[in-house]
Amino acid sequence: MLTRIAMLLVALLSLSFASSVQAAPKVQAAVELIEETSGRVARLVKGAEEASSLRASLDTLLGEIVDFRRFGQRTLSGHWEGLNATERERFEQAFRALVLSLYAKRFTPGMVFTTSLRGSPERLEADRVKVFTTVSGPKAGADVDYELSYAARPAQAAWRVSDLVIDGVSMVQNWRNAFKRILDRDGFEALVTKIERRASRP
Amino acid sequence: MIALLTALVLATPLAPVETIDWPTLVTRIQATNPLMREARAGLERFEAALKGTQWRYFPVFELKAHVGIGPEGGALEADAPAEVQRWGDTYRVGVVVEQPLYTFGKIEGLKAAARHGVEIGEAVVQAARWELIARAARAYQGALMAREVEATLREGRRWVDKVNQRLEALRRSDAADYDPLVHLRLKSRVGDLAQMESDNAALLSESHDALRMLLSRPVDQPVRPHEDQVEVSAFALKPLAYYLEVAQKSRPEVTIAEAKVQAQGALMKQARAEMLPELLLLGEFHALGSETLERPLALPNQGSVGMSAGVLFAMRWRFDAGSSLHRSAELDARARQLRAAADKAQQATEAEVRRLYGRLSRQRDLIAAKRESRAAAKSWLINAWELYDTGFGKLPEVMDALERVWLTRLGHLHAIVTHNVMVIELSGTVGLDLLTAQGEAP
Repeated sequence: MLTRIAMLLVALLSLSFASSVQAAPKVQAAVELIEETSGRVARLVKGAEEASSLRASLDTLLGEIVDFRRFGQRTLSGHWEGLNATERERFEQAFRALVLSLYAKRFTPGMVFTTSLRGSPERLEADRVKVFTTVSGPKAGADVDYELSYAARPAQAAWRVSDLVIDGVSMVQNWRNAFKRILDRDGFEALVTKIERRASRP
Repeated sequence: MIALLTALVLATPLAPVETIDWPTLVTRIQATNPLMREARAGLERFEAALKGTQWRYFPVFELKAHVGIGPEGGALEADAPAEVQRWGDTYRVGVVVEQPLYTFGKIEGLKAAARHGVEIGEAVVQAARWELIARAARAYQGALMAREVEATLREGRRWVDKVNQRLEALRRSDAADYDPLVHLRLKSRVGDLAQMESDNAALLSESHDALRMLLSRPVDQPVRPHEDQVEVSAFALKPLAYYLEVAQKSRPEVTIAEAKVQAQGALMKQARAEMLPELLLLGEFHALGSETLERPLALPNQGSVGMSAGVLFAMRWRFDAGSSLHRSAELDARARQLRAAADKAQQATEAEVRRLYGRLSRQRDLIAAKRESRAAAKSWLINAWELYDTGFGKLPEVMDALERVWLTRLGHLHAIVTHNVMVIELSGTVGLDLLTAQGEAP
């Protein structure tokens, strides 16, 4: 009897150990994602002939690797819980368009740049890591750090970007501060309308 | 039209601007600058004086020759002047040779003083060299900094113009977003920007002129630094004790002061030797003759007709007690004065080394802090503009960020230039090229 209990305990412990090993996503996968994405962006920009097609290509690429839902949720910290599903979806789409327009503005078709890893990645939590890179080009350079969250959803990339830190400034924190002013003063509708209007400008 | 074309054809083409790197500049200014030529000429004087003392061991020749016309007999008899029947030529030649045998230290004293004089001359050349290199460093770094600041201010001017145009558009369209106070806030900064542009243009022009004049070039032969950017000089600071030790041995001002003390000591020995006699070998040859004289005859004040020669040991001694004592006291006082000056030079050296070392040791941390500030200001501007451009930010935030970009960049560049010039100044203070002697990257 005791032997059976002991064997059961050992089996349970082994199972939980195996589960914990499997549950911790590998940091290396996040690094590889960033390296691959950076290379794709560089090739896209270099080969682009005009801004609108570049923007469309970047939109597709960003859609694959950025978790806009989580990104947007973090910028509306404190207000997100009060939104319904439709509002959340609307905000996510508007925010995605805004991020894309700002991101695309940083690149001009034909621009050449390289991205290199900077230091070792940092595991912030079990399912959050930070990967550090430096973008260098003839005209400018910047430190671009990616915060990635592990999304255990089927048929989606395991690691997805949930924040960009450019030259030490987190997009989430920067936009959260700006959105808070408008939310406190004018409310959610005014904020999302403003975001949609701005995102639709060329 | 024809006059204009002619003027264009005949116009003297502008000389191409030569670029020069730092090592080449240092080499060329030492070859061409009047300060170095003056110092080297001074050294050559001391070297000539030293060579001159060596000739003191050689014999001294004195030659006297006289040819004249004299009466028969060589003298007029007072009571029978009319009886002189014949006049003829008279010649007189005398050669005296003095060969010093023993001078009781006079020549050795002069030689020792002259040797110390050469040391002084060499140290003066080194002092001139470091003075020139320090001037060149200030001009070179100033030109590099001014060039980078010019680019920063141009970028700043573009930002100001961009914001101003946007505000002007809002003002003209009487937009609800237009805030005249914000517009005035921007315009109030334009004067500061213009002041920075003016100051920087002056720095650029003065630095370029200084470089040209250091190389002794005319105004139509401009010269510019080869590098594009200000960079921190590759230099690893050693402990203070090292620089203090090196400076006491190698700093030109200390070497000059010590050499003057040594030279004074040699002059004092030489002055004591002056109170003693000289032993010498004396040789003489005399010849006296006349066509009017046929037999040996002694002529008044002229010696005997014929030839005479002789060699003898001689002693020469001139002793002036009063002057000797006075000179001795004067030399003693001068020696004490020079000793005090040498001690003062050592103290000044120590103070200067400590001052530069302290500042240099803090300068690297300051550069790092200013670099961080500069990066943060740049990031602030980009993000503030992004928020403002998307309608989520405020223009005063952009203007404040822009001002900080200018100031932090200027501050960072100034910190680097100050560091680089201080490295050269410390090199001059210790009398050792610290960049080539150490050569470690920061």
